[in-house]
Parts: sequence; C-alpha cells; structure tokens
Amino acid sequence: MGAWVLAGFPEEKPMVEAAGKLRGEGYTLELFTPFPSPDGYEVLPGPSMVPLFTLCGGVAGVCIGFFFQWWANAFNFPIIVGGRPFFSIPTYVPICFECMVLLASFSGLYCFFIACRLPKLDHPLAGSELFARHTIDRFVLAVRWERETPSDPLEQRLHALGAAELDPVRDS
Amino acid sequence: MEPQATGTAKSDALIEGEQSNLSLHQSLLRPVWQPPGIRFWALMGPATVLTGIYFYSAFLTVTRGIGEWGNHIPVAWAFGIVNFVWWIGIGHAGTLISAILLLFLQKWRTSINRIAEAMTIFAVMCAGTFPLLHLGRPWYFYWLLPYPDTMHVWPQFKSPLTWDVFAVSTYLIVSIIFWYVGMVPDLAALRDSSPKKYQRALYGALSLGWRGSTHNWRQYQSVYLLLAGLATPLVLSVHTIVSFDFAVSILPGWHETVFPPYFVAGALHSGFAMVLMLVIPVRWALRLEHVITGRHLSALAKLAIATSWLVGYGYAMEHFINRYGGDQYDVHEYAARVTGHYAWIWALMITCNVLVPQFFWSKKLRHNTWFLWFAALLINVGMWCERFVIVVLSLYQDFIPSHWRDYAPRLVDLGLFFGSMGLFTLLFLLFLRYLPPVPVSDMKELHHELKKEAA
Repeated sequence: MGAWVLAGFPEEKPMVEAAGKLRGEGYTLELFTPFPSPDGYEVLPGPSMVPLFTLCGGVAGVCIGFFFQWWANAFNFPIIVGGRPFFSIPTYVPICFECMVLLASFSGLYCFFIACRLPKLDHPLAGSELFARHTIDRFVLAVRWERETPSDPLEQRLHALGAAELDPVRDS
Repeated sequence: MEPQATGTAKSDALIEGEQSNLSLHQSLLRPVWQPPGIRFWALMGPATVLTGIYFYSAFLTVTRGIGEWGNHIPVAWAFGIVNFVWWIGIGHAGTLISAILLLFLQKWRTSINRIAEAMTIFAVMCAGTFPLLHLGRPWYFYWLLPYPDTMHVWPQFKSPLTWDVFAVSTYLIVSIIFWYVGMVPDLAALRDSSPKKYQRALYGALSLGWRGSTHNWRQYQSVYLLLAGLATPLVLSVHTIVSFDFAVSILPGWHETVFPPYFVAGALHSGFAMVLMLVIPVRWALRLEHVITGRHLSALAKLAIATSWLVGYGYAMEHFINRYGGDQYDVHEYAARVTGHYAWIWALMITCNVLVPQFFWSKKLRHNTWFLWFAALLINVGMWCERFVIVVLSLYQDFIPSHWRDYAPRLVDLGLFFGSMGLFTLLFLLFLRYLPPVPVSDMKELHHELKKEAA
C-alpha cells in the first residue's frame, strides 16, 4: 500500500529544484508541466526512441518506393511510354522521396503513441483536482510515498520547498 | 520583470499585456467555450450558401459531364488546374510558418502556426477536389493509385502527374499528422478545463488521454521536431512536383527550368497573403490581439516583400529566356501573353504580385490592418492571375493557328471556384469554433521563455 503526494508549484524553477533534491534522496518522482520543461529533463533523464523509429520508417519508405516502382514498371508489366527506359532511376526519385516522408511521419507518430501509451483515457492520478491543473497553470510534482504514516515529514518538506498546494492520492 | 518582455509598452512585442499561465489559458481557449456570437453566424451564412453552390456545381459536373466546364481544345486545362495550383500554393505558407520557422527558431511563429496549419489542410482539401472533378468520373479516382487491378496494369511512375498524386496525398496526410500532434496537449488542456461533462468526454477522447509528464513531453518534442524536419523538404517538393506537371512538357510557356523555384516562391507569396487575410479578422473577432500582435502582421508583410522579389525574378527570367532563346513559338507565346487581348490579366499579375507588396516597405502601412488586408487580397488575386497566365495563356494559341481559340469560364467553373472559397471558409470557421485556434501550451512556453530572458 502506498500513495502519491502531489505538490503544485506556480513556477517551474522551484519545482525543478525540489525535484532535484528529492530525487537525490532516492524518492520516485514524476513531473507534470503545462509545457515542456528542459530543466525537468535533466532531473528525470530518459531516452526517446522516436528519432530511431522515424529513421527506420524513412529508410523503409525509400526502399519500398524504389523497389515497387522498379517491380511495377520494369519487371511485372513493362510498357513503353514515350520511349522512356523501363528502369530509370532519376524518374523514381520524387516518389521515393514522398514515400520516405510518409512512412517516416507515420513511424514517428506511432512511436510517439506507443512511447506515451496513447490512447490512455484513464490515469491513476486523474481523480485529483490539482493534477488536472497541470495542463492549465500548475507545475505538479508527484512524489511516491511508500509509507502511510501521517507524521511523514514529506508534506512539510514540500511546503518548505515552495509548493503552493498539496494533494495526497492513495492507491486504490 | 521588465516591461519589454511582456510588452506593455512596446507595440512590437510577441505577447502584449501582463499575462500569466492562467490568463493565457483562459483568453486563448475562450473562443471554444463561449457561444458563437453574431459575427460568427454572419460569416457562417454566406460560407454555407457558397458551399451549397460549390456542391451544386460539382453535382452538375458529375451528372452532366466535364462539358459543363468552359474547357476545350486547345485549352484543355483551364479553371480546374488554375484553381488547383492556386489553392495548393496557398497551403504552402502554412507549412512554412509552422515547420520551417520552427526549425529556424523564429518565436513569432508560435501564435499563428495553428491557424496557418489549418489553412494548409483546408486549402489542400479544396485543391484536391479540382483535379478529382477534372477526372470527369471522380468515383474512379482510385485508378490513380497503385493497386492490383484485374488488367494487371500499374500507374506510369515516370509521369509527373503520378508524382503529383503521391506528393499531394502525402502532403495532406503529413500536414494533418503535424497539425494533430501539435494539438494533442491543447486538447488535453481543453479536457481539463471543460465546463460540461460531454465536452470533457469529447476533448478527452480527442486528446487521447495526454498527460504532460516529463517522459511524454520528451517524446512529444522529439516527434514534433522530426515532423517539422520532414514537412520542410516536403513542402518544397510538393510545389516543385506541381511545377513539373508543366515544366516536363514541351509546350512554350511551360517548358522552363525556372519553374520549380518560381512555383515554390509563388506558393509562399500567395500563402503569406492568405495568412494575413485570415489572421487579421480572426484576431479581431476572437479578441486575440494580445498574442497576434502588430509584430506578427509586420513580419508576414516583410516575408511578402521577399517573396514578391522572388516571383518578380521569375517573371524577369521568363522574359529574358524567351528573348535569349529566340525560339519562334516561345517568342510568339510570350508576345501573345504580354500584348494579346488577355494582356490585362498579365498586367494585373505584375501589379498585384510585384508592385503592391512594395508598399510594405513603409512601416506605417505595415501597421495599418485595413491596408494589409486589402493588399493581401490583391496579392491573392495576382497569384490567381499568375496561374491563369501560365495555364490558359500558354494553351490558347498553340502551334497551329487554325487551332487557336479563346477561353472563357462558364457558370459552373465560376460556381466551383467561388464555391470552393465558401467551403474553405466553412471548414475554417468550424475549426475556430471547436478547436483551440492558438497553440496554448506553446504560448505558455513562449511567455515563460520571454520572462526568463527579461530576468
């Protein structure tokens, strides 16, 4: 049995500083912000697979586009049109390029969805009013709270670090 | 905090007035939550009527055939292609503002990028309908795509027209992806401030359950930047390929190596004008003057000066190459263009595209929204004339004088053209009504950055 303590900060800087301190003490944290916070990335470093997937999609797009044009126009059903050669690399370039952009975009999009676990219509913290404000104006620091003792000094710590509101959310 | 950062005093600030995350949130989402006012319905009415005319004209085209259009031989490509190129060109500025200016770290793009992207999508939609109707039997449009049909024939991939199918459909799809990904955090912001339960459910579903955790933002920024990087060469490729439809042929007036850059520049020229035409009424009607400031309008006008010189170079090049090349058909085609009885369209093109934007050198005129709006309207007229000059004036006097024939649009042509403007306006108004017109999270971020810079 455990819980999360949500702390709402009106500004980004104190939240990042508080997160850095608590992280150093071994707490499990998550930051929820109205806009991307590059300082927050430093506190909670992590990978993004999106560029790699996008690259793979782009390479696959070029290959599929090239191979298909060759297969269709030069191998499967060659027809002479205007005396052009069946296998003509320069004329394949535009469609290879469009296929690259299309497949790279879709790979990036799918990787984004998978990495963020979207669509995900429910969230363990969604019941909290303070949590809902992170898309509006609050920088919300969620701290994992392993014990369930009311005298835990965590709440006082968060207040001292500049939290404007606190909201404990228990695991159901 | 210094006043320059939020610009209480300076008129060229990016965000005017003393703002906070909450005030930006409320003022930028107000258009979605407020019931639409009289201004909305006053625009919606004519847009609906024009859309009706559009669909009626499309109905006539489909049921009675392409003979309802003014097209004939030799002018086989007339309004359908003129309007296609015009609309798709308009779309290009949206991608330029949202993707290229993002890569160049231009902060002023932030408040107008969503409006510009919506413009792109609806303009490409309108553009796509013209070649589809021009097929005559649009329900066979899938013949354009490579699919295993019973005759085992594949599309001819060495033709610019096939490239066009791939370019335009990729452009539409990637623009929608880019627009939607950028909107996901704002849809979540709408969800979390919904006054009613059904709105919460609707925007919650549209946002796919987005939460702004560090992990999610990292993925988001990564994919958004990559999409911008992909959209940037894409937008250049699309109008390049559209210009290949002409340039790869051997017709005088079309067979020109200057076409790809000249088409891209023209596309951006009309697109900036269209952004101005949309943004000026929108900032007034939705009370967004604090985020779409004089500085934004001024920057758009400056870009229009730049693109006016680019298209001007294109016109000069056409003139020069005709004289320098000296091919008799080229010379005749150009002389007919400049001195023939459609010469007034050519003159209108030069006036609107090259001369009118020169007024934007004046700071006073750049800050006069009425002037900007009418100048932008003239630029769009000029850019439409440019496509008319390219398509019709290159065709109506072809190689054999006995073929020469003048062109005039018929009522169905005009109905489709003006109707497509109604369709565009209708889609755009629905976008303004139901989706956040200004990127909210980006504006909060920009506000935060400006504050940090000032501190």
